[in-house]
Amino acid sequence: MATSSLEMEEIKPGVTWRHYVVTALATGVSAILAIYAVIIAPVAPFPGVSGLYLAAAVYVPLSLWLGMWGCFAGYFSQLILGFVATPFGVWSLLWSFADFLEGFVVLLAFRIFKADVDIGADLKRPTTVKILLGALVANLIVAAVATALALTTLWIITLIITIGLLIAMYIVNPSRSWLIYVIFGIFVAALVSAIVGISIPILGGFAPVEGFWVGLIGWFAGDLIVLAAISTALMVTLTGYIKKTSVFVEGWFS
Amino acid sequence: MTKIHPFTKLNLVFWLSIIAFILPNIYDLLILLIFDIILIILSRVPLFSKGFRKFVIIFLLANISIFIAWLLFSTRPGNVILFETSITIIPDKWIWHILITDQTLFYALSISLRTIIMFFLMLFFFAAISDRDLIHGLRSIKVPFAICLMMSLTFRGLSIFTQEYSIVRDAMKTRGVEFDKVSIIKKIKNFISIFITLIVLMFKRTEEMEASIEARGIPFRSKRRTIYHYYPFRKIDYTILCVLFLFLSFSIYLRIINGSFILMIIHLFG
Repeated sequence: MATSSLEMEEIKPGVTWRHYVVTALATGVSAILAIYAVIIAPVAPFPGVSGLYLAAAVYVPLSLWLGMWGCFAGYFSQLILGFVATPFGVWSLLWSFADFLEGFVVLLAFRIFKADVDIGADLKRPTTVKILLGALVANLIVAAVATALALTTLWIITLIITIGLLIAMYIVNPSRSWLIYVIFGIFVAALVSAIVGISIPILGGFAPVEGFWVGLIGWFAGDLIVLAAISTALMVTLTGYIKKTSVFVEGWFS
Repeated sequence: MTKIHPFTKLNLVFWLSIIAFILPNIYDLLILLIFDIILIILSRVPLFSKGFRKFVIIFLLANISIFIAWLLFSTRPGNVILFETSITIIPDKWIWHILITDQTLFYALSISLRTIIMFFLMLFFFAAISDRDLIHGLRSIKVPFAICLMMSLTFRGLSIFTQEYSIVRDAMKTRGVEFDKVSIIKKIKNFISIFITLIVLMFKRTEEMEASIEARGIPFRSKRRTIYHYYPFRKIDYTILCVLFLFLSFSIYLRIINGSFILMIIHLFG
Protein backbone atom coordinates (compact mmCIF):
# COMPACT_ATOMS: atom_id res chain seq x y z
CA MET A 1 0.00 0.00 0.00
CA ALA A 2 1.52 3.29 -1.08
CA THR A 3 1.74 5.96 1.54
CA SER A 4 1.25 9.59 0.59
CA SER A 5 3.69 12.03 2.00
CA LEU A 6 2.19 15.15 3.42
CA GLU A 7 4.08 18.30 2.65
CA MET A 8 3.63 21.06 5.15
CA GLU A 9 3.48 24.44 3.53
CA GLU A 10 4.39 27.43 5.56
CA ILE A 11 1.48 29.87 5.56
CA LYS A 12 2.50 33.48 5.38
CA PRO A 13 -0.25 35.63 6.90
CA GLY A 14 0.20 38.75 4.75
CA VAL A 15 -0.48 42.27 5.97
CA THR A 16 -2.73 42.42 9.04
CA TRP A 17 -3.73 45.00 11.69
CA ARG A 18 -0.52 44.13 13.50
CA HIS A 19 1.53 45.94 10.85
CA TYR A 20 -0.58 49.08 10.93
CA VAL A 21 -0.60 49.15 14.72
CA VAL A 22 3.15 48.68 15.04
CA THR A 23 3.78 51.41 12.44
CA ALA A 24 1.54 53.80 14.37
CA LEU A 25 3.21 53.05 17.71
CA ALA A 26 6.71 53.11 16.22
CA THR A 27 5.87 56.52 14.74
CA GLY A 28 4.84 57.71 18.20
CA VAL A 29 8.09 56.54 19.82
CA SER A 30 10.28 57.93 17.03
CA ALA A 31 8.46 61.28 16.97
CA ILE A 32 9.01 61.81 20.70
CA LEU A 33 12.71 60.97 20.36
CA ALA A 34 13.02 63.25 17.30
CA ILE A 35 11.41 66.26 19.00
CA TYR A 36 13.53 65.73 22.12
CA ALA A 37 16.75 65.48 20.07
CA VAL A 38 16.08 68.68 18.12
CA ILE A 39 15.44 70.61 21.31
CA ILE A 40 18.56 69.40 23.19
CA ALA A 41 21.14 69.58 20.37
CA PRO A 42 20.13 71.95 17.54
CA VAL A 43 22.45 72.73 14.60
CA ALA A 44 22.36 76.33 13.42
CA PRO A 45 21.42 77.55 10.81
CA PHE A 46 19.12 74.60 10.22
CA PRO A 47 15.95 74.34 12.27
CA GLY A 48 14.94 70.72 12.75
CA VAL A 49 18.51 69.42 12.51
CA SER A 50 20.05 67.88 15.60
CA GLY A 51 23.69 67.19 16.38
CA LEU A 52 22.59 64.12 18.34
CA TYR A 53 19.50 62.84 16.56
CA LEU A 54 18.39 60.08 18.95
CA ALA A 55 15.48 59.08 16.74
CA ALA A 56 17.93 57.88 14.06
CA ALA A 57 18.89 55.14 16.51
CA VAL A 58 15.51 53.47 16.04
CA TYR A 59 14.91 54.07 12.31
CA VAL A 60 17.52 51.57 11.13
CA PRO A 61 16.54 48.79 13.59
CA LEU A 62 12.82 49.39 12.94
CA SER A 63 13.38 49.02 9.19
CA LEU A 64 15.32 45.79 9.65
CA TRP A 65 12.74 44.39 12.09
CA LEU A 66 9.53 45.65 10.46
CA GLY A 67 10.49 46.01 6.79
CA MET A 68 8.82 48.86 4.92
CA TRP A 69 6.59 49.55 7.95
CA GLY A 70 9.70 50.70 9.81
CA CYS A 71 10.58 53.02 6.92
CA PHE A 72 7.05 54.46 7.01
CA ALA A 73 7.41 55.03 10.77
CA GLY A 74 10.59 57.02 10.04
CA TYR A 75 8.76 59.11 7.44
CA PHE A 76 5.73 59.88 9.59
CA SER A 77 7.76 60.63 12.71
CA GLN A 78 9.86 63.16 10.83
CA LEU A 79 6.65 64.60 9.38
CA ILE A 80 5.36 65.15 12.92
CA LEU A 81 8.73 66.69 13.88
CA GLY A 82 8.49 68.97 10.84
CA PHE A 83 5.03 70.20 11.80
CA VAL A 84 5.68 70.55 15.53
CA ALA A 85 9.29 71.69 15.97
CA THR A 86 10.27 73.38 12.69
CA PRO A 87 8.83 76.18 10.56
CA PHE A 88 8.79 73.97 7.42
CA GLY A 89 5.04 73.39 7.40
CA VAL A 90 3.91 71.41 4.33
CA TRP A 91 7.52 71.33 3.13
CA SER A 92 7.92 68.61 5.78
CA LEU A 93 6.10 66.25 3.37
CA LEU A 94 9.28 66.28 1.25
CA TRP A 95 11.78 66.72 4.09
CA SER A 96 10.55 63.54 5.78
CA PHE A 97 12.00 61.43 2.96
CA ALA A 98 15.38 61.90 4.65
CA ASP A 99 14.43 59.60 7.50
CA PHE A 100 12.44 57.29 5.23
CA LEU A 101 15.56 56.72 3.13
CA GLU A 102 17.70 56.23 6.23
CA GLY A 103 15.81 53.02 6.97
CA PHE A 104 15.11 52.06 3.36
CA VAL A 105 18.75 52.05 2.27
CA VAL A 106 19.80 49.48 4.87
CA LEU A 107 16.65 47.39 4.33
CA LEU A 108 17.32 47.30 0.61
CA ALA A 109 20.91 46.19 1.21
CA PHE A 110 19.90 43.39 3.57
CA ARG A 111 17.21 42.15 1.17
CA ILE A 112 19.43 42.32 -1.92
CA PHE A 113 22.33 40.54 -0.23
CA LYS A 114 19.92 38.17 1.58
CA ALA A 115 21.75 38.79 4.86
CA ASP A 116 20.48 37.83 8.31
CA VAL A 117 19.42 40.87 10.33
CA ASP A 118 20.56 39.26 13.58
CA ILE A 119 24.00 40.86 13.48
CA GLY A 120 24.72 39.97 17.10
CA ALA A 121 24.09 36.25 16.67
CA ASP A 122 27.70 35.39 15.88
CA LEU A 123 29.44 38.49 17.18
CA LYS A 124 33.05 37.67 18.09
CA ARG A 125 35.30 39.82 20.28
CA PRO A 126 32.72 42.59 20.90
CA THR A 127 35.17 44.93 22.68
CA THR A 128 37.64 44.96 19.80
CA VAL A 129 34.82 45.43 17.31
CA LYS A 130 33.43 48.38 19.33
CA ILE A 131 36.85 50.05 19.38
CA LEU A 132 37.22 49.59 15.61
CA LEU A 133 33.70 50.93 15.08
CA GLY A 134 34.48 54.00 17.20
CA ALA A 135 37.64 54.62 15.19
CA LEU A 136 35.68 54.22 11.96
CA VAL A 137 33.08 56.79 13.04
CA ALA A 138 35.77 59.32 14.00
CA ASN A 139 37.52 58.71 10.68
CA LEU A 140 34.31 59.20 8.69
CA ILE A 141 33.65 62.53 10.43
CA VAL A 142 37.17 63.68 9.46
CA ALA A 143 36.43 62.49 5.90
CA ALA A 144 33.26 64.62 5.82
CA VAL A 145 35.20 67.71 6.91
CA ALA A 146 37.91 66.94 4.33
CA THR A 147 35.23 66.72 1.61
CA ALA A 148 33.70 70.04 2.68
CA LEU A 149 37.06 71.81 2.62
CA ALA A 150 38.25 70.04 -0.54
CA LEU A 151 41.32 68.69 1.26
CA THR A 152 42.07 65.97 -1.25
CA THR A 153 45.12 64.47 0.47
CA LEU A 154 43.33 64.18 3.81
CA TRP A 155 40.29 62.71 2.05
CA ILE A 156 42.41 59.99 0.40
CA ILE A 157 44.06 59.19 3.73
CA THR A 158 40.66 58.82 5.44
CA LEU A 159 39.46 56.62 2.57
CA ILE A 160 42.45 54.29 3.00
CA ILE A 161 41.91 54.22 6.78
CA THR A 162 38.21 53.44 6.27
CA ILE A 163 38.98 50.49 4.01
CA GLY A 164 41.64 49.29 6.45
CA LEU A 165 39.27 49.50 9.41
CA LEU A 166 36.54 47.63 7.53
CA ILE A 167 38.98 44.86 6.62
CA ALA A 168 40.24 44.71 10.21
CA MET A 169 36.64 44.54 11.46
CA TYR A 170 35.90 41.65 9.11
CA ILE A 171 39.04 39.80 10.21
CA VAL A 172 38.15 40.23 13.90
CA ASN A 173 34.47 39.43 13.34
CA PRO A 174 34.02 37.52 10.06
CA SER A 175 30.30 38.17 9.75
CA ARG A 176 28.79 39.21 6.41
CA SER A 177 25.72 40.63 8.14
CA TRP A 178 27.87 42.76 10.41
CA LEU A 179 29.84 44.20 7.48
CA ILE A 180 26.68 44.98 5.49
CA TYR A 181 25.19 46.63 8.59
CA VAL A 182 28.28 48.81 9.18
CA ILE A 183 28.52 49.93 5.57
CA PHE A 184 24.82 50.42 4.77
CA GLY A 185 23.25 50.73 8.19
CA ILE A 186 25.70 53.27 9.57
CA PHE A 187 27.71 55.00 6.86
CA VAL A 188 25.42 55.00 3.79
CA ALA A 189 22.26 55.53 5.86
CA ALA A 190 23.75 58.58 7.59
CA LEU A 191 25.10 59.99 4.31
CA VAL A 192 21.90 59.61 2.28
CA SER A 193 19.80 60.97 5.13
CA ALA A 194 22.13 63.98 5.57
CA ILE A 195 22.20 64.86 1.86
CA VAL A 196 18.41 64.71 1.51
CA GLY A 197 17.73 66.28 4.91
CA ILE A 198 19.88 69.34 4.25
CA SER A 199 19.14 69.77 0.54
CA ILE A 200 15.37 69.93 0.97
CA PRO A 201 15.31 72.89 3.44
CA ILE A 202 17.78 74.70 1.18
CA LEU A 203 15.57 74.07 -1.87
CA GLY A 204 12.63 75.37 0.16
CA GLY A 205 14.54 78.53 1.02
CA PHE A 206 14.68 77.85 4.75
CA ALA A 207 18.48 77.98 4.82
CA PRO A 208 21.09 79.53 2.52
CA VAL A 209 22.94 77.29 0.12
CA GLU A 210 26.22 78.58 1.57
CA GLY A 211 25.35 76.75 4.80
CA PHE A 212 25.07 73.37 3.04
CA TRP A 213 28.36 71.89 4.28
CA VAL A 214 27.85 73.08 7.88
CA GLY A 215 24.42 71.46 7.97
CA LEU A 216 25.57 68.32 6.16
CA ILE A 217 28.50 67.69 8.48
CA GLY A 218 26.34 68.36 11.56
CA TRP A 219 23.62 65.94 10.41
CA PHE A 220 26.05 63.30 9.10
CA ALA A 221 28.28 63.32 12.20
CA GLY A 222 25.30 63.30 14.57
CA ASP A 223 23.67 60.36 12.79
CA LEU A 224 26.96 58.44 12.57
CA ILE A 225 27.52 58.66 16.32
CA VAL A 226 23.95 57.70 17.15
CA LEU A 227 23.80 54.86 14.62
CA ALA A 228 27.16 53.44 15.69
CA ALA A 229 26.53 53.68 19.43
CA ILE A 230 22.81 53.31 20.07
CA SER A 231 21.43 51.66 16.96
CA THR A 232 24.11 48.94 17.01
CA ALA A 233 23.41 48.22 20.67
CA LEU A 234 19.67 47.89 19.95
CA MET A 235 20.32 45.58 17.01
CA VAL A 236 22.67 43.32 18.96
CA THR A 237 20.44 43.21 22.06
CA LEU A 238 16.91 43.02 20.69
CA THR A 239 16.97 41.37 17.26
CA GLY A 240 17.01 37.83 18.68
CA TYR A 241 13.95 38.61 20.84
CA ILE A 242 12.02 40.41 18.09
CA LYS A 243 12.60 37.63 15.55
CA LYS A 244 10.60 35.34 17.84
CA THR A 245 7.61 37.70 17.99
CA SER A 246 4.79 37.81 15.46
CA VAL A 247 5.67 41.39 14.57
CA PHE A 248 8.94 40.57 12.82
CA VAL A 249 8.77 41.04 9.04
CA GLU A 250 10.94 38.77 6.92
CA GLY A 251 10.07 40.25 3.54
CA TRP A 252 9.17 43.80 2.64
CA PHE A 253 5.64 44.11 4.02
CA SER A 254 4.98 40.77 5.74
CA MET B 1 -14.72 77.56 12.91
CA THR B 2 -16.53 74.50 14.25
CA LYS B 3 -19.01 74.59 11.33
CA ILE B 4 -16.26 74.19 8.76
CA HIS B 5 -15.57 70.65 7.55
CA PRO B 6 -12.20 69.24 8.73
CA PHE B 7 -11.27 68.57 5.10
CA THR B 8 -11.76 72.29 4.34
CA LYS B 9 -9.57 73.22 7.29
CA LEU B 10 -6.87 70.83 6.00
CA ASN B 11 -7.07 72.44 2.57
CA LEU B 12 -6.77 75.90 4.14
CA VAL B 13 -3.55 74.88 5.91
CA PHE B 14 -2.08 73.06 2.91
CA TRP B 15 -2.85 75.54 0.13
CA LEU B 16 -2.07 78.67 2.15
CA SER B 17 1.36 77.14 2.90
CA ILE B 18 1.88 76.59 -0.83
CA ILE B 19 0.75 80.17 -1.57
CA ALA B 20 3.30 81.45 0.97
CA PHE B 21 6.01 79.89 -1.20
CA ILE B 22 4.55 81.14 -4.46
CA LEU B 23 4.03 84.83 -3.58
CA PRO B 24 7.18 86.68 -4.60
CA ASN B 25 6.63 90.02 -2.90
CA ILE B 26 7.18 90.79 0.78
CA TYR B 27 4.11 93.10 0.93
CA ASP B 28 1.83 90.30 -0.33
CA LEU B 29 3.32 88.01 2.29
CA LEU B 30 2.34 90.60 4.91
CA ILE B 31 -1.28 90.42 3.70
CA LEU B 32 -1.14 86.64 3.93
CA LEU B 33 0.23 86.97 7.45
CA ILE B 34 -2.66 89.26 8.44
CA PHE B 35 -5.08 86.66 7.05
CA ASP B 36 -3.28 84.01 9.10
CA ILE B 37 -3.63 86.05 12.27
CA ILE B 38 -7.36 86.44 11.58
CA LEU B 39 -7.60 82.63 11.29
CA ILE B 40 -5.75 82.23 14.59
CA ILE B 41 -8.09 84.71 16.32
CA LEU B 42 -11.19 82.99 14.89
CA SER B 43 -9.97 79.57 16.02
CA ARG B 44 -9.29 81.00 19.52
CA VAL B 45 -5.77 79.62 19.87
CA PRO B 46 -4.56 80.32 23.43
CA LEU B 47 -1.24 81.72 22.23
CA PHE B 48 -0.22 83.05 25.61
CA SER B 49 -1.14 79.98 27.65
CA LYS B 50 1.62 77.97 29.37
CA GLY B 51 1.40 75.07 26.93
CA PHE B 52 1.63 77.19 23.80
CA ARG B 53 4.24 79.56 25.18
CA LYS B 54 6.95 76.84 24.90
CA PHE B 55 6.13 76.29 21.22
CA VAL B 56 6.12 80.01 20.55
CA ILE B 57 9.55 80.40 22.20
CA ILE B 58 11.02 77.43 20.27
CA PHE B 59 9.62 78.85 17.07
CA LEU B 60 10.93 82.38 17.77
CA LEU B 61 14.42 81.00 18.37
CA ALA B 62 14.23 78.95 15.17
CA ASN B 63 13.03 81.97 13.21
CA ILE B 64 15.77 84.21 14.56
CA SER B 65 18.39 81.58 13.68
CA ILE B 66 17.01 81.34 10.13
CA PHE B 67 17.11 85.16 9.81
CA ILE B 68 20.68 85.40 11.14
CA ALA B 69 21.80 82.44 9.00
CA TRP B 70 20.53 84.16 5.86
CA LEU B 71 22.29 87.38 6.84
CA LEU B 72 25.60 85.70 7.61
CA PHE B 73 25.74 82.95 4.99
CA SER B 74 23.98 84.48 1.99
CA THR B 75 25.97 86.80 -0.28
CA ARG B 76 23.28 88.48 -2.38
CA PRO B 77 24.48 91.62 -4.16
CA GLY B 78 22.39 94.74 -3.66
CA ASN B 79 22.29 98.50 -4.11
CA VAL B 80 23.46 99.40 -0.61
CA ILE B 81 26.17 97.48 1.25
CA LEU B 82 25.34 97.52 4.95
CA PHE B 83 28.18 95.31 6.20
CA GLU B 84 31.05 93.43 4.59
CA THR B 85 33.93 91.41 5.99
CA SER B 86 35.95 88.23 5.48
CA ILE B 87 36.98 85.80 8.19
CA THR B 88 39.79 83.35 7.44
CA ILE B 89 39.08 79.98 9.04
CA ILE B 90 41.71 77.97 7.13
CA PRO B 91 44.07 80.02 4.92
CA ASP B 92 43.44 79.52 1.17
CA LYS B 93 40.84 76.82 1.91
CA TRP B 94 37.98 78.25 3.96
CA ILE B 95 37.40 81.98 3.92
CA TRP B 96 34.01 83.07 5.19
CA HIS B 97 32.71 86.10 3.28
CA ILE B 98 29.96 88.00 5.04
CA LEU B 99 28.08 90.44 2.82
CA ILE B 100 24.95 92.14 4.11
CA THR B 101 23.19 94.33 1.56
CA ASP B 102 19.69 95.75 1.31
CA GLN B 103 18.74 92.74 -0.83
CA THR B 104 20.12 90.30 1.74
CA LEU B 105 18.06 91.99 4.45
CA PHE B 106 14.94 92.04 2.26
CA TYR B 107 15.32 88.36 1.35
CA ALA B 108 16.01 87.29 4.93
CA LEU B 109 12.89 89.19 6.01
CA SER B 110 10.76 87.48 3.36
CA ILE B 111 12.06 84.05 4.46
CA SER B 112 11.28 84.91 8.08
CA LEU B 113 7.79 86.05 7.08
CA ARG B 114 7.20 82.75 5.26
CA THR B 115 8.25 80.77 8.32
CA ILE B 116 5.98 82.88 10.56
CA ILE B 117 3.08 82.22 8.15
CA MET B 118 3.85 78.46 8.24
CA PHE B 119 4.00 78.53 12.02
CA PHE B 120 0.63 80.25 12.39
CA LEU B 121 -0.90 77.80 9.92
CA MET B 122 0.42 74.90 11.98
CA LEU B 123 -0.98 76.50 15.15
CA PHE B 124 -4.33 76.81 13.41
CA PHE B 125 -4.07 73.15 12.34
CA PHE B 126 -3.44 71.93 15.89
CA ALA B 127 -5.98 74.24 17.52
CA ALA B 128 -8.86 74.06 15.06
CA ILE B 129 -8.67 70.36 14.20
CA SER B 130 -8.85 67.75 16.94
CA ASP B 131 -7.54 64.28 16.18
CA ARG B 132 -11.13 62.94 16.19
CA ASP B 133 -12.21 65.65 13.71
CA LEU B 134 -9.22 64.82 11.53
CA ILE B 135 -9.99 61.11 11.43
CA HIS B 136 -13.73 61.55 10.86
CA GLY B 137 -13.07 64.26 8.30
CA LEU B 138 -10.77 61.97 6.34
CA ARG B 139 -13.30 59.13 6.58
CA SER B 140 -15.98 61.38 5.09
CA ILE B 141 -13.84 61.80 1.96
CA LYS B 142 -13.38 58.03 1.70
CA VAL B 143 -9.80 57.74 3.00
CA PRO B 144 -9.38 54.01 3.85
CA PHE B 145 -10.40 53.12 7.39
CA ALA B 146 -7.08 51.39 8.07
CA ILE B 147 -5.18 54.63 7.34
CA CYS B 148 -7.51 56.63 9.59
CA LEU B 149 -7.17 54.12 12.43
CA MET B 150 -3.40 54.20 12.01
CA MET B 151 -3.40 58.00 12.35
CA SER B 152 -5.58 57.78 15.43
CA LEU B 153 -3.22 55.21 16.98
CA THR B 154 -0.24 57.43 16.16
CA PHE B 155 -1.74 60.31 18.13
CA ARG B 156 -2.52 57.93 20.96
CA GLY B 157 0.98 56.44 20.72
CA LEU B 158 2.52 59.89 21.18
CA SER B 159 0.79 60.41 24.50
CA ILE B 160 1.29 56.79 25.65
CA PHE B 161 5.02 56.84 25.05
CA THR B 162 5.53 60.28 26.53
CA GLN B 163 4.10 58.88 29.77
CA GLU B 164 6.02 55.62 29.52
CA TYR B 165 9.29 57.44 28.89
CA SER B 166 8.75 59.39 32.14
CA ILE B 167 7.79 56.22 34.04
CA VAL B 168 10.83 54.26 32.84
CA ARG B 169 13.15 57.18 33.54
CA ASP B 170 11.73 57.69 37.04
CA ALA B 171 11.98 53.94 37.73
CA MET B 172 15.64 54.01 36.75
CA LYS B 173 16.24 57.09 38.94
CA THR B 174 14.72 55.36 41.96
CA ARG B 175 17.21 52.54 41.36
CA GLY B 176 20.04 55.05 41.64
CA VAL B 177 20.73 55.69 37.93
CA GLU B 178 22.04 59.21 37.42
CA PHE B 179 21.02 61.02 34.22
CA ASP B 180 22.27 64.56 34.60
CA LYS B 181 25.68 64.76 36.27
CA VAL B 182 27.40 61.95 34.36
CA SER B 183 29.78 61.66 31.40
CA ILE B 184 28.42 61.60 27.84
CA ILE B 185 29.25 57.89 27.51
CA LYS B 186 27.30 57.07 30.64
CA LYS B 187 24.39 59.22 29.37
CA ILE B 188 24.36 57.28 26.10
CA LYS B 189 24.39 53.94 28.01
CA ASN B 190 21.47 55.13 30.16
CA PHE B 191 19.51 56.20 27.10
CA ILE B 192 20.17 52.83 25.47
CA SER B 193 18.57 51.16 28.50
CA ILE B 194 15.52 53.42 28.17
CA PHE B 195 15.28 52.77 24.41
CA ILE B 196 15.41 49.02 24.89
CA THR B 197 12.61 49.20 27.46
CA LEU B 198 10.47 51.49 25.28
CA ILE B 199 10.88 49.24 22.25
CA VAL B 200 9.96 46.10 24.18
CA LEU B 201 6.92 47.96 25.59
CA MET B 202 6.03 49.07 22.07
CA PHE B 203 5.93 45.48 20.80
CA LYS B 204 3.87 44.36 23.78
CA ARG B 205 1.38 47.19 23.19
CA THR B 206 1.20 46.21 19.51
CA GLU B 207 0.08 42.72 20.41
CA GLU B 208 -2.47 44.05 22.95
CA MET B 209 -3.90 46.58 20.50
CA GLU B 210 -4.06 44.09 17.65
CA ALA B 211 -5.93 41.63 19.87
CA SER B 212 -8.25 44.45 20.95
CA ILE B 213 -9.04 45.45 17.36
CA GLU B 214 -9.67 41.86 16.29
CA ALA B 215 -11.76 41.17 19.41
CA ARG B 216 -14.03 44.04 18.33
CA GLY B 217 -14.52 42.30 15.01
CA ILE B 218 -13.12 45.17 12.98
CA PRO B 219 -12.29 43.58 9.64
CA PHE B 220 -9.13 44.57 7.87
CA ARG B 221 -10.85 45.32 4.61
CA SER B 222 -14.48 46.33 4.40
CA LYS B 223 -16.16 48.33 1.69
CA ARG B 224 -19.49 48.56 3.51
CA ARG B 225 -18.28 50.25 6.67
CA THR B 226 -20.61 52.87 8.16
CA ILE B 227 -19.43 55.80 10.26
CA TYR B 228 -21.03 57.19 13.40
CA HIS B 229 -19.87 60.80 13.10
CA TYR B 230 -20.79 62.32 9.78
CA TYR B 231 -19.52 65.72 8.68
CA PRO B 232 -21.59 67.11 5.80
CA PHE B 233 -20.17 69.62 3.37
CA ARG B 234 -21.94 72.96 3.71
CA LYS B 235 -22.14 76.06 1.50
CA ILE B 236 -19.43 77.72 3.55
CA ASP B 237 -17.04 74.85 2.75
CA TYR B 238 -17.62 75.18 -0.99
CA THR B 239 -17.23 78.97 -0.73
CA ILE B 240 -13.94 78.68 1.12
CA LEU B 241 -12.59 76.09 -1.32
CA CYS B 242 -13.56 78.29 -4.31
CA VAL B 243 -11.94 81.37 -2.79
CA LEU B 244 -8.84 79.30 -2.01
CA PHE B 245 -8.65 78.09 -5.60
CA LEU B 246 -8.98 81.65 -6.91
CA PHE B 247 -6.32 82.89 -4.47
CA LEU B 248 -3.97 80.10 -5.56
CA SER B 249 -4.50 80.84 -9.26
CA PHE B 250 -3.95 84.56 -8.68
CA SER B 251 -0.74 83.85 -6.73
CA ILE B 252 0.59 81.71 -9.58
CA TYR B 253 -0.26 84.55 -12.00
CA LEU B 254 1.59 87.07 -9.81
CA ARG B 255 4.56 84.74 -9.67
CA ILE B 256 4.68 84.38 -13.45
CA ILE B 257 4.51 88.13 -14.09
CA ASN B 258 6.72 88.82 -11.01
CA GLY B 259 4.08 91.23 -9.82
CA SER B 260 2.62 92.26 -6.51
CA PHE B 261 -1.02 92.52 -5.44
CA ILE B 262 -0.35 95.57 -3.24
CA LEU B 263 1.55 97.40 -5.98
CA MET B 264 -1.31 96.61 -8.42
CA ILE B 265 -3.82 98.20 -6.02
CA ILE B 266 -1.59 101.22 -5.53
CA HIS B 267 -1.14 101.57 -9.29
CA LEU B 268 -4.90 101.24 -9.84
CA PHE B 269 -5.89 103.89 -7.30
CA GLY B 270 -2.70 105.91 -7.28
